[in-house]
Amino acid sequence: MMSRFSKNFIIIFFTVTLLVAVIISITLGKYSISFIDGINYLSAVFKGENIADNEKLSNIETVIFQVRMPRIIAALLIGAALSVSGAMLQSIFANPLVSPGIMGVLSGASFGAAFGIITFSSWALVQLSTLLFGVSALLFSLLVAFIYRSTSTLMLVLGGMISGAFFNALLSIVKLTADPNNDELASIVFWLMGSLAMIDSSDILLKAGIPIILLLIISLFFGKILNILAMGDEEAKSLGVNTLYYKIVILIISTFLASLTVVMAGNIGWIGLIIPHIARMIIGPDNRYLLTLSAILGGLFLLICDTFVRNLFAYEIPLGIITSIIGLIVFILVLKNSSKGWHS
Amino acid sequence: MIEIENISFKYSKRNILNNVSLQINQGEIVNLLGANGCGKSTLIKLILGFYKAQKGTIKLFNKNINSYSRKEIAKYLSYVPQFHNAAFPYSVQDIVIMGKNNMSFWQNYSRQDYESVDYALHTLNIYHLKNEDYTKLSGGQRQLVMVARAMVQNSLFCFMDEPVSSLDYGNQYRLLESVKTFANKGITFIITSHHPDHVKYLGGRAVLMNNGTIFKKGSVDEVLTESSLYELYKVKLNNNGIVYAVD
Repeated sequence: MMSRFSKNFIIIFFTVTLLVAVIISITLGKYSISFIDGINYLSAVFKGENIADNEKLSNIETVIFQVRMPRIIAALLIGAALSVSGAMLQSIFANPLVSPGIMGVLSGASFGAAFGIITFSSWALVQLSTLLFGVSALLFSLLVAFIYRSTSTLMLVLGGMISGAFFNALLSIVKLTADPNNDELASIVFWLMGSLAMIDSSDILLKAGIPIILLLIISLFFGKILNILAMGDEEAKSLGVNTLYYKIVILIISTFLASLTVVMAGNIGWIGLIIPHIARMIIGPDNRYLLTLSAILGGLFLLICDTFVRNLFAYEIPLGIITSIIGLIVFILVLKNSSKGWHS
Repeated sequence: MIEIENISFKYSKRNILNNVSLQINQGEIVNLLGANGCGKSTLIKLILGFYKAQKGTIKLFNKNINSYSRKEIAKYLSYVPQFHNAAFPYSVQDIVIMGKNNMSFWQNYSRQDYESVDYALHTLNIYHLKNEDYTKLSGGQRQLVMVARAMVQNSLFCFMDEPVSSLDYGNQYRLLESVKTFANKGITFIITSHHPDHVKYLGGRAVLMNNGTIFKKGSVDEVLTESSLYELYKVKLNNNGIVYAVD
């Protein structure tokens, strides 16, 4: 087991790695910005020169701030939100196989998005519907658990499965009724595969990003409680934790985190499951460190995937496909060390 | 002081406890004995508030236990489960420090909290396990870690569900010896046990349970007679306290 010093060192190390990745990602893209261009641009900014007069520099400014930065920030926030959501859920269910989809939240949010696409013409309403149905899916699964007057892990998971199946069925109905001739069906399918391509053309980054940042900051304070909840219900109660209250608060936070990612970029799979695993293998299960590292690694992972998506192919393929493929490969590689990550 | 008054508890239509009344005074050792399934563990879990009794009341210092918050209850009552494992590979230190949960939500553990962990691990002779992976320990070692956590919790009453069930012969008596030491310092112990000899070693009070009721209680010497042990376990003992016949 490692000391607190080395755990802090790991977090600093990955933070620096993340910053380097951000800088590299800024320079990569269809409009190439060389290192020299970057230096020229920065020196112009510091000297206070009028950038609008210089065509090359003003192009650089537009590409960086209007196109690339929003996408990079979105990738960091979505990766962090899904990973932290997954890590918190794995702790309260005391089960390493749990992911943000467990309470039916992603199915609910996906249905909300699809329903919004065929019903409303404005994107703002589509996004609202996504969020609302994500939260509804959580409430639905809690309702199932409460009908049987139990918030045991098993009952919550079963409630989540029922809720997820229900919203998947609704989603199929929406797909069936969507008009294939005016692109409705295509945009639903594309949305469900997940993509960051929508980010630069809307103010969604602010509207969904700020709540994500706030929720992430609040989440980091739950480390101590999450450790105790991971011991199981009776244990946690005897250690003085109101399990019902904290489980519901944490479920709500993780639901909002996961739904907001669907609002921003559709359905991006795998991150919520594998990143907490990898983080746990690196830094151990103590949530006071695990949540922070999960956020950093989640952001890093999604940033790398999105940078690939932006640059590798002439036609942009949906991000969700790449995260699944790269995620699977990474997961198979780290499974070799699985005994460090959980106990069977 | 804990007063249990006419508690009845049913689980899926089966009566687990029937009209059980018991008073637990501060500083005493209460030994709960009885055959498997007699309701010992359920009684402990009811007092700790894991389940709610359908009938009767449990009072902690003259106030209904339901009127206390979880955090307040944890200040008075700690719990050592019979079996436990963690889903994730926490270190022993991570597990034991969880006993300290009296600070506010926003606060982290202090240096003193970590010192109390070291002290508890030293007392139970498991300091060398401090940085080990809890999930890889033996059942007995995990049981000692649970005891260490209860020590760190430092509550007035400590409930132990068969705390020696996975311990080796020497550690069984070492644990009983620590229980005696803490009892002398004023901590109250409520311990379920399947070993009359351990109960005699500990002393204090014995409560014998059968089919969800208490059929005998009193000081250990008074209660643990050959006839009551026969009634409890259907075994016959000779003069040396060794079983010679089983019905």
